Parts: sequence; C-alpha cells; structure tokens
Amino acid sequence: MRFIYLAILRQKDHLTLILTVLVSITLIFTNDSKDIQVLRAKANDVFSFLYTPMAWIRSVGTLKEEANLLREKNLQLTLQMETMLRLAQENRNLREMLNFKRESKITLQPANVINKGLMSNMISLTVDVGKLDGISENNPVLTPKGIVGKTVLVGEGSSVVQLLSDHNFRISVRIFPSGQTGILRWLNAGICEIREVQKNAIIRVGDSVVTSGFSDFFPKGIPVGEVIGIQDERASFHKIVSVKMHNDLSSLLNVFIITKIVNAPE
Amino acid sequence: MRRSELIYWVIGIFLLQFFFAEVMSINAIRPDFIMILVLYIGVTHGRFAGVIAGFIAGFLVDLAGVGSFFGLTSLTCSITGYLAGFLHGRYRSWIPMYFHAGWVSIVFIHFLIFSFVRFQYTFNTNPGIFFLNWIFSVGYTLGFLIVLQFMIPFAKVCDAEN
Repeated sequence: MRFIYLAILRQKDHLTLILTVLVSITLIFTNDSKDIQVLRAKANDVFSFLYTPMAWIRSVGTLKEEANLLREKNLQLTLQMETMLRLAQENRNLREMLNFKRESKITLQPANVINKGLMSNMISLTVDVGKLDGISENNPVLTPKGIVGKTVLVGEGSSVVQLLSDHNFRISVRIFPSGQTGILRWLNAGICEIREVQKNAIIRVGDSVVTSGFSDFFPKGIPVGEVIGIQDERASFHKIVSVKMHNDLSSLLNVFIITKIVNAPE
Repeated sequence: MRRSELIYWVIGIFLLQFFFAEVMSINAIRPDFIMILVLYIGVTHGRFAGVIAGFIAGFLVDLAGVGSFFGLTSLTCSITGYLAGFLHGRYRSWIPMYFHAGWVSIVFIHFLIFSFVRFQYTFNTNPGIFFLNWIFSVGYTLGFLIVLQFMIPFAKVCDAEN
C-alpha cells in the first residue's frame, strides 16, 4: 500500500495531467449534457453580473456616437417609410389576388451585448436577457443587417450566443435570385462559404444570401450576406460560393433575439 | 512567490482577460493572458502546479461563456502548464537560448491544439487560412510575452523561486 502511495506521489505530475486531460475531454464530449448546461447557465449568470458595470461604461462611451447614428438612421427611415407603406399596400393587394395566406410573424426581444467571452478567438457573446425574458435555447439572434448566431445557453437573466464565426455553426441559406440553397459555414474574417451549390446554378457576385427556412430554428428570408466570389470545386459537381457577412461580429453592441415565430394557418 | 500572492495574480490576470482582452482584440483575435499566467506558474512552480493552475484557469475561461467546445481551454491550459513545468529550475542549468526556445515552442503548441480543435473545418478546406489564424493567435500573445520579458523576465522569477 505504502509502495503504491509513494508511486502515486512520485508520478503525481503525470497523473494530474492525465486526469485533467480526461476531465477536459469528457467535458468537450458532454457539452450537450443537461447538467453541464445548467452549470454553464448558472456560471454565465454570475459572470454577466460581474461584467454589467463594464458593459454600462462601454455603452455610456458609445452613447453619443450611437445617438448621432440613430438620428441619421431615423431620417433615412422616415424617408423610406412612405415608399414602404405604399409597397406594403400593393403587396397586400397582390397577396389577396393570389389568395396567398401563409405568412409568418416574429416576436423580437432586444438585448445588449455584455461580454464577448474570454477565449483568444471571438466565437460567442453574452447578452443580458434570459429565461425571464422569454429566451430559450436555439433562438435566432440578429441585427437589422442580418443574422448573427443563435442562443446556445440560457440562464435566468443572461444567455450565451453562438456566433456565426464559431466553426461549429452551420446555417441553411438560399441565394437570390437563383434560389439555390446550401449550408453556410464561417471561413475567416467575415467571409463564409457555401459548398453544396450545383455547378450549373447561375450565381453572380453581388447576389444576396438569406436564410432558407429549412432550419427548425431560423425563419426564412433573414439576410445573411452577399456573394463575393464563386469558385468551381475540382472533381465535384458543386461550386464554392464565398459570402461576405453583412454584420461585423467584432463590434456588436445590441442585438435582437427572435423568441417566437408564428405561422398563420394556410 | 507565496501561495496567497499566487492567488492574487490568478485573480488579477483573470480580471484583466475578463475586462480588457476585448479592447485589445484585432480581427476577432485577442491576447491570451490566461495562457501567459499558466506558463509563468509552470515555469516558476513546476509541472504539478502548472497543470492544476492551467486546468482551473481554463475551466473558468470556459465557464465565462463559450458557444461550443466547453472544456477545450482547460485542456490546452493543462497541457501548457505541464509542458511549462519542464522548464522549472532549468534557467541556470540550460543554455538560455534553449530555455527561451522552450517557452516559445509551448506557446506554439498551446495555440496549435486550440486552433486544430476549433478550426477543424478551416484546416480541412483552407490550410493556408488555418495556418494564418494559428500564427496570428500565437504572434499576438507572444508579442505580449516578449514585452513582459522586459518587465518580469523568466530569469528573474526563476531566480526568485530558487
């Protein structure tokens, strides 16, 4: 017994490493476990509480700049509204003529970004809304420019958002006007790739990319980005489409979370 | 370095990473002060302390909010702490160049494991971009480490511990 104890003591460095590596690997492979999710959600609530003063200072610092931007945006929107009202009326009329009844409405929850994680690469952020505000897991997160990510962890008063820049994030998208669909993945520095696009599809630089609606979580038609390059994949029936994101993920301050998607009965 | 002093350092560096890493972010890549801390602890206190400190610090980073791969930072930091422990007490017995090459290699290994797990897709599809990502992550943290050598050089902390 004494011999075993001494051997453990002698090899404690290696044994500790083996133990910590095993625990870490177990954690990586049990990310979806309920217990781990609860632990992470609770820890996230604590960390977001700690980060609140910093987020407040940062928001005060950008308040003036933000107010100016909002004034400018307000003016632009006021000018656009008249045209849009007219187009909406025209759209309603056309829908009535086509007897097109299916339409979806979404409920949005505004949120402030309070933390962007501690890792050396930015792949997630924490927002100041949680279960108490009606947020649940896998809710889409967006800005007026387009999709940003989805909630992966929801605490009482805060949530962790998995960003598009996380290499584990995938989203089904549609390219307009061709209507081709594919799976979008993050590549690097605001550039994403769609790889499952048929070679004979007509896609041009500048085409818009929106969510396809095939996903259980993301409603269709939310802007994602713009095509900036098309490349034929060698020895394949597919082409690779490079997409520039509309959002700059490193400078997000405020986002919206879709808490409810209501589809009207057909 | 006494144990209480070490705890203050851990808390201080964690808060530094928590509050200021974002401010220093370039192209969504940030300096990894936690990794620097683990490296210092490994070099000054040995493998056992390095692994324990690395695991705890990494676990805290993971708890502070990651979208996926919860546990990856604790894995990389534990390995970093362990490897850094090999340099413990070696500053005087090794040629300084080997010693410095040692900790630089550890930084490269730390980010290689991290990037390899996190950017698997990029590694498979665009090895060039993967390589750039890795090198940039290493370079940014290494830059801080090199600057730190003028303030708290390894030579000084190693002597203090001996």
